[in-house]
Amino acid sequence: MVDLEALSQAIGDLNETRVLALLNDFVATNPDREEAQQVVNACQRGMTLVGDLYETGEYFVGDLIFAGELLNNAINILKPVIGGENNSKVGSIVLGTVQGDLHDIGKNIFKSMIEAAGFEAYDLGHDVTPGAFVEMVRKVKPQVVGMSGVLTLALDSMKAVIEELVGAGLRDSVKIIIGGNPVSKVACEQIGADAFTTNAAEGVKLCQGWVR
Amino acid sequence: MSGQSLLQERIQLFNDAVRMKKTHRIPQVSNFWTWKILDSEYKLSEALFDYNKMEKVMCDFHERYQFDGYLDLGTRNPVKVTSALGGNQYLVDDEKEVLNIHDQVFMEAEEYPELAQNPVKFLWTKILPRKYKKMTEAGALESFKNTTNEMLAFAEYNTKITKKFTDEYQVPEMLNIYGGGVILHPFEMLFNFLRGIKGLSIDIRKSKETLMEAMDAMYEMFVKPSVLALEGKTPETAAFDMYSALLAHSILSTKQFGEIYWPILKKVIDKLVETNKTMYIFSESTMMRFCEFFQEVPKGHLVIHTELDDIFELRKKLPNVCLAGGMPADLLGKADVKTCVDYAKKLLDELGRDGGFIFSQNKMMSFRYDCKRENLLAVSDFVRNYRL
Ligand code: B12
Repeated sequence: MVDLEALSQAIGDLNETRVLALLNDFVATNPDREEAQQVVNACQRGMTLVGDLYETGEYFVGDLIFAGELLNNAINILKPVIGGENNSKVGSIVLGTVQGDLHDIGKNIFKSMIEAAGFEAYDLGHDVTPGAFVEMVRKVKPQVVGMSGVLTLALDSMKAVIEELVGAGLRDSVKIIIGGNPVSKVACEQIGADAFTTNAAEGVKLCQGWVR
Repeated sequence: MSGQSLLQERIQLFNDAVRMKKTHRIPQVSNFWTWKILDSEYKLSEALFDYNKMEKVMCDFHERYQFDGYLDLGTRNPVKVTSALGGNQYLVDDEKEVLNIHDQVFMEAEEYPELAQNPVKFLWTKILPRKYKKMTEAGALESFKNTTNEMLAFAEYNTKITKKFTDEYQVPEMLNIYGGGVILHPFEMLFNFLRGIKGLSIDIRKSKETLMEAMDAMYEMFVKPSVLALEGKTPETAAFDMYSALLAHSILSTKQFGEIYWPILKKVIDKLVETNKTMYIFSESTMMRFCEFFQEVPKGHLVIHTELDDIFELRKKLPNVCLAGGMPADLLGKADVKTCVDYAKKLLDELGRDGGFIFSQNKMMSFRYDCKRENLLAVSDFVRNYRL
């Protein structure tokens, strides 16, 4: 069995060579699904380390993007041994950058971190219309809706999404979190979201609190 | 100010500000982009695709608000030039009133050595054909002709509007995209046009050496000529000797900035200091994280236009650098006239008192609710007439 501690640390250090070596060796031992799940969890703990280092200023946006890619690669290596249906998801979130806004860096970072935390993320991409949010919520019935945007106009687009969710009778079935630079406490209240953050790691914690 | 034209007065104001001298009033720079069009009689697409209309937008805007300088004269998004070449990076949406731009990724990490070997050749033979599909299709010659015409038309508009502003309105140039004077850090070129944000973030960790070599080659080819030109004279109609926009620093940690970004920027700044020239740095996102680097720059050569920093804090950290910005889009777009003017007064009093401040907006003003006309009228009027 692979040294789980070392694996988490290698992810935290963003040491790709080491992560891939550890995982390839592990997969070659033909592990069972339970072992594989422990390794996935270790990877997720590594992402928490990355989030912590981001908060201290040691890592910045580029490092978070790299961490997201690294985790993606790690999960891809593990896929054959995790087994097809992974039913250990802790919750689900519908996610997108709102209409009129094409800035998706922050959204993508949050997506990799929330996935690392064990959520199923339904990513609608960028420039997402209120209608598309509503349709997806109706379809997959998530616990959380996450909206991202960095343009000032994103706040109006976020409001429009919530209005449509209300209109469709779906507002009370979900928690809504907004993120991206212009969000604030005031904006959050005006828009009618449940939480806001400009820090992806904090957003993950808020979502975890909701599905507990 | 007897005997001095308004143009000279404005240039003097900007120069005193960057030299950290006290000025009798605080100069103001417009950080208005597509909002200008929304404030006019035209739709976005009408102005962006018609230089006569764009000119009218600019002139009306100036006559209404009378800024001392403009970061954009309607030249930021050359929509017509790029669409003639089949590069559809700009999408204009009149209904939602936005201009959409996609991330530009036209190069692979493996290609850094080739870029380093001959940047110009690489751009012409590899990047342009990938970016502008029409260059490789049947009828390429025809589209080249069209594009050349569009480029000439754009250059003509640029010259015309700049001249109109300097001669008729007595407004100095902030940047002259055809006169040298504008530099783009190689890391910005990679971020904005070549590798995209995700690619570059990965390269920093996986291909740092080849990335740095390519940046050095790009510096020699594209940046150094402008740096050497600092030894010459700057046009008499310009407010600053050099202009640069920073946004790619927004992905770097402080340590990475020191290793990857600062060395080239420092070469530019050293030359500015050596030749006693000035540079306006338009900085998106935050700068506070990089204060330690800018603190060592001798006083009186740089303006930093900040977006997300607490400008009052930044002032304390950087007593050697002139700051621009400060007026929040949040207030201009959502608050009432009194709140806006009160805040403008606070900025002038606290940051302008001892010199080293240029009044401007924090965000690139782009969307309808970024500003209300009555607020902007009141604020620009107030700033123009306020004496410290
Ligand atoms: C990079 C960038 C671009 C890139 C975008 C590439 C991309 N794929 O995203 C490019 C160059 C293409 C671009 C284009 C434009 N841009 Co731009 N851009 C930026 C810049 C410099 C950084 C944005 C960014 O990615 N930040 C880093 C991320 C990581 O931060 P973040 O989004 O806040 O995310 C963090 C948290 O908030 C959180 N988070 C984010 N989302 C979510 C969601 C949830 C649910 C949760 C929990 C958390 C969370 O997690 C992240 C990590 O902690 C900003 C400056 C700024 N201050 O933001 C300007 C900025 C946003 N751009 C601006 C403008 C004007 C434009 C253009 C219109 C320019 C033009 N005229 O040509 C176009 C518009 C295109 C469009 N319609 O969207 C202006 C907007 C001004 C305004 N009035 O709103 C800004 C503010 C710059 C400025 N100086 O004013 N831009």
